[in-house]
Amino acid sequence: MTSLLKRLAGGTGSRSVKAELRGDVLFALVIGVVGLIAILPGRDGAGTAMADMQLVGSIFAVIIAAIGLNLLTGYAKLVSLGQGAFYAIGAYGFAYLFLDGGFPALLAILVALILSGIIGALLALGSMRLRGPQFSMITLVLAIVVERILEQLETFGRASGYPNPLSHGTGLLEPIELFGTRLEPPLLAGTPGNVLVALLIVLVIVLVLYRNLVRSSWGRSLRAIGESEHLAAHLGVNVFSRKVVVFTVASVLGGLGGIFYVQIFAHLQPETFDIFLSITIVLSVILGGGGTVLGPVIGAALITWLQRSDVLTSVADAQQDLFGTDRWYLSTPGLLGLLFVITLFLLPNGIVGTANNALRRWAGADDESDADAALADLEVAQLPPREERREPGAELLRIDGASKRFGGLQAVGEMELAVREASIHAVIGPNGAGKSTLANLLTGVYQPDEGSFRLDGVELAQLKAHAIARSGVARTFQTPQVFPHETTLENVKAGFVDVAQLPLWKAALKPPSQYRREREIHDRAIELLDRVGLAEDASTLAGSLSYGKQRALEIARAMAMDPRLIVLDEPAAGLNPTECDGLAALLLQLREDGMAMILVEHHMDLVGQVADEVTCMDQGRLLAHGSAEEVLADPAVVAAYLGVPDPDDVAEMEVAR
Amino acid sequence: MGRTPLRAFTAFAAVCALSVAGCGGSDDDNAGSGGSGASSNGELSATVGVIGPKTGPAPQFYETNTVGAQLAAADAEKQYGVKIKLVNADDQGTPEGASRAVQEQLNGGNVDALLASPQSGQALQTADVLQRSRIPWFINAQSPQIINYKIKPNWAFRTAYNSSELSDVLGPFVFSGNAKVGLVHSADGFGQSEAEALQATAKKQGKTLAAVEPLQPGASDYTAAVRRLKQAGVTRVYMSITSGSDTATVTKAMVQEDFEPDFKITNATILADFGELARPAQWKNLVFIDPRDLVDGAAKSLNADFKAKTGKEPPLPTNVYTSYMAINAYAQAVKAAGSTDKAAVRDALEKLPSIDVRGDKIANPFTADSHDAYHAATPKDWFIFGFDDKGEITKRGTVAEEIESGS
Amino acid sequence: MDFVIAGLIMGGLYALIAQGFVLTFLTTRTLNFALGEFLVLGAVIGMGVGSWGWLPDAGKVAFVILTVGILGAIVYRFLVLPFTTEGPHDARWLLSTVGLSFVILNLLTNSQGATPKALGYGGFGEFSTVLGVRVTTQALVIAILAIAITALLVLMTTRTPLGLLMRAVSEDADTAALMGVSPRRIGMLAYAIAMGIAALAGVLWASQVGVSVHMGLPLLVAAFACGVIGGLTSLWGPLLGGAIYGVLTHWASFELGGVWGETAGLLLVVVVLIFRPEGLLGRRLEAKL
Repeated sequence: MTSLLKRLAGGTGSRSVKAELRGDVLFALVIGVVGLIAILPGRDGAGTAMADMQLVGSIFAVIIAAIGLNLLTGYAKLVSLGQGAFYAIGAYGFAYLFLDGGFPALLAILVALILSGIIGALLALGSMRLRGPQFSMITLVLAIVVERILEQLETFGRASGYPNPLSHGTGLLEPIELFGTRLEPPLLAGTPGNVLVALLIVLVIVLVLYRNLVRSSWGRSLRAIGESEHLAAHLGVNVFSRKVVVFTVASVLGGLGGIFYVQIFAHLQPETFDIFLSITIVLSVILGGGGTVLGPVIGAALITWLQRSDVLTSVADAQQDLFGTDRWYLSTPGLLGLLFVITLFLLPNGIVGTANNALRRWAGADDESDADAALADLEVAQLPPREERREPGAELLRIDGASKRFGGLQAVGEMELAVREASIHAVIGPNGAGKSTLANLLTGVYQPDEGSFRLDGVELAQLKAHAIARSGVARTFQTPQVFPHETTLENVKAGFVDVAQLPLWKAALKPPSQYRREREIHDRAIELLDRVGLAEDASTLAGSLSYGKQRALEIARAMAMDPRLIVLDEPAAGLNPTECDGLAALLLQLREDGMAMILVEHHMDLVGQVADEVTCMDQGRLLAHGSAEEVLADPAVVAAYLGVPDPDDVAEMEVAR
Repeated sequence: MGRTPLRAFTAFAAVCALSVAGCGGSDDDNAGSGGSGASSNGELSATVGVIGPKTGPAPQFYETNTVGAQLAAADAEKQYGVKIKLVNADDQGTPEGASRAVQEQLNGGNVDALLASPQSGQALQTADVLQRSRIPWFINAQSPQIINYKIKPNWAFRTAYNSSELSDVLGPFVFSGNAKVGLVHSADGFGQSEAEALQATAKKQGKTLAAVEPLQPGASDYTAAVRRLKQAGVTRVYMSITSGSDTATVTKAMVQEDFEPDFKITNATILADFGELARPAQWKNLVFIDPRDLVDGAAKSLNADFKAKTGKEPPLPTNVYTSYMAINAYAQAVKAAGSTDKAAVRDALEKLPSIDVRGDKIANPFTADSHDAYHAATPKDWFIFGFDDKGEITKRGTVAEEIESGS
Repeated sequence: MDFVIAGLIMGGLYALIAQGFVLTFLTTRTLNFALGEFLVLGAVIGMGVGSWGWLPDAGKVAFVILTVGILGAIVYRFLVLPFTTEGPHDARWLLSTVGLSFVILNLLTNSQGATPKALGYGGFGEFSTVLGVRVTTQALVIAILAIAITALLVLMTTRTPLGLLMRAVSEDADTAALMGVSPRRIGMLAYAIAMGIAALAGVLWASQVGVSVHMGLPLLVAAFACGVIGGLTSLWGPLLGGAIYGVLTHWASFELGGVWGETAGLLLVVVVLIFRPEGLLGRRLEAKL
């Protein structure tokens, strides 16, 4: 039992493909059974169950919209206040196409979903430079404008609702018919609301696909974007297009939620789709736990139930009795707001996120040997080396005439540099010499003004960061950039090319090959952790690792990309001597394995220990180049180090402005 | 991460179970409250559900409907010997909440009749379900579409005038002579339905509206639209506005823009908040029409009783009146039918000689063809009111008289 | 031309409220999404003290500003600050203030009722004429106040030691903290001033349109729009944003009809966000590597 729980909690125990499959089937079964229990009371159409069946249907609808929002808000950390707008677009879109358009039901659903997706994609294209309150604003605008259109557009019946007796002779949409069965809504006593069965089936399918998606490398890319877009780009993720895609997927799910809504209530009023609907969906995600698989599911169920049932009404009455006033008390909307604020305080990761953490802590403290045993059983899957890799000593990277100005400052000027296969090329220089700028130019943080950066003959100079990463250049950062709330193992998994390149459909459908690939990634990640000495820490949260270990973790993650070249930006900064020795040993070992590296470093001991070649920069220019001994003995280099600092840091601050 | 904790599953299951259990419980409560028909001592009793937005953004609709119903129930027991038990339900001011409230009342509340949501959005969401549920239900919202006459037999009974009736009375009045008529209407169900009705009336009379200006409820400024009215050369303005505070905003903009039409006309929604917020210049040339005698009729005593009960003036006096009408009509029908049998009560309602609001009589309110209580009203039955210098309502006579005097 | 004057005057109200967004965003990188409810709170408290005959009207307004300002500081300390600890992408403060707005709105609806009531003081007369255009004196006073308060805030931040501290915190809170400035206190101060301004706007506007729990949301949306258009990182932003938004909405209301004014303004917000996310006068904020 313990081990099962630990597995579910995300322990490091490597899961066989079979166990993984079992887990996935179990998930679908449990969701299906819970849903079935929920809709069971309505099976014979008993009047007393009608209100509850509507509630269950609403919950299903909000769950769908909430899991969509979770991709955006929970994982990619873009707080959208516009999910309700897509809910409305889906609902009205379907109803209009079905009734006025005369489309067959399934086609109407499909077109309504595509419509939601297109509007989502358009908004996404416009808003992808935005974060924080500005992003929330643009989505809020969408929600308000859509509500306004529903209120004003004659086509949709305006405030008379859709359909309405004047235009359609009825206030209720006809149930859709599938395979000869009318899918009745739970509206009239005596008529079982069998549409709930269909909705449940769709819900289970969507939940399974969604769960596959967020647990795949595709899902990892969303977490990476949520943590830092810069970092995600250096992991090879095309941040812009991925954000557009995830917004589109979220919009389609929002639309599907709306389509669910029509099936249950059969009539649409614009008042339903006000800004509070959007806020309710956000509440559901955050309360349940953004960035967790089940968070929005639990959250949506809980919020919808609290909103509609009488529980909060009795709380309101109790307050009035307690305080002896019929004025100063909170009723349902206020209590939900209060619950929300309290959740943020007490359960910062939401209900599911907090439960997850508690479970992980409990499982981790349980016993250590289990994890080690898992490692011991490991059959290491050796990934084939990159085919392009050529023999040691051949020139891999050549930088020629690289220049970059920030305003009036020449941060880098006419730099040149070459890196050979299976070698370490150190770049040294006094503070502000332009070393980090050079590394940033190479990895695509900045575009060079001039110069060429050729990796094995391929020009990188005008490529974006993610494209450079995909060409085989990985990097680490001056201050380690890890995902602090993820385990060490997950951090390494975020480095694999799959994060950038796994197609959406494959991530969601999870064909057998994907099971095998996940297993490969898992094994390979463990191997990499072992390589950098972090095997013991596989299930530790990266944020709680020491500085030195975070560095090692970054290197392991960079290795996961199977790069041709790794750019290490001051990896020794902040390390103690022992850690520094460990780092030297690791770098040497990587070189043994055939890895080429650029080492931007201050730490001369380390440089002396590992560098095959050294280039010294000063004031953005090449000062000296040669072996470590030669360069360090060069009088010009010594003078530069004793000289005045240079404007590099200032320049970077300028940019930050 | 990514792995799904079993506990979460359990929690989800628990929530679902709770939801079912919790709601089931509330149903039981309601079920216990029913019990209608002829009681042991031969006295008739009935249960009526009253739905309103108790926790919505406009709780005044709930308050006026429930209090109006209570006043009527108390009177009805004395007048007709019919004991009416009222069960209040909260529609939360949302269509979804209304749907739930209606289902609970229909299926768990054991009610014999319903007074549906007084706000059009909520009423429209639930109207067809109520019609098909074969239970007498009353409505005091004005959107004509709430009653779907295509569903037969018709179970809905409206105790307010609907927008078309208002326009029928208004039409001969505002379109008389060569007046250029402008319309200001709230951009909500109420305002939109009146706008449509007035446009239909105009068409019938071969007239056109010189300007139609919607108003976003709660708008902070309306001067731009007033300038449009002015530019269109409007000489008479009809304002179909949901709340008196918005009417204050509109009339203030008219004063600000120096726009003085021959007269501004509106309806009794102006009684909500307008007097509180407006200044005398704003009610110059302003009149409103209503089928009820708000000065000498029963409205005064209802308002007084409302104040005695709640400690304040009714925020929507006409809703107190129309909800009173609903319960009065129902009590009479139960008495006539001799039971709470739904079909019998429905038939009795169609044959009701009059609704009696403390002496105000609305004759032959419902027929087999029309379930709108004011369907038979003509300009001579409607009154026209204005305000004196102190902002008190004054009665100027009937609309028919006003038309004759050729104002 | 009329719509320009009228639009500018209405823009003044939005600008004054938007200042409540900008001031806090500048210093703390957070916004109070419950700003609309603070506005209402100001009006409601204003009505509550309306019966204090011993206090002159100006004193009542000052009392309201002070009370709501203190509430603002408390809100920052306990509902915003704790939700900013996870770095620049931490947007939990947005959610906590939305939650707060639910609580305040509901509490006020339950206690005050949803129908508007007259404030009864704080009015500056009926109408005034500006360049031949008649405007309400109240709106004119508010617009003038918006300019005056903006100028005062700019002077304060550029000319006083306190302003220097605020700017230091806004540039780099961590470094400022190392230098002995308490970002927390500066943040509380910024929230106090910002919510005080919101309360002032609430009282003055309520004196014209009445005290209503529903007056917050439309003003919040308009003010937020002005802040975004002008730029949330510039104290002059709200005035520019308010002017543009006010004139545009007025023009659209006049040309297209009443309900499309706000929509036109919001579409402008979308355009600004797409092409200049930092707003017309705002500075670009980029994450450092």
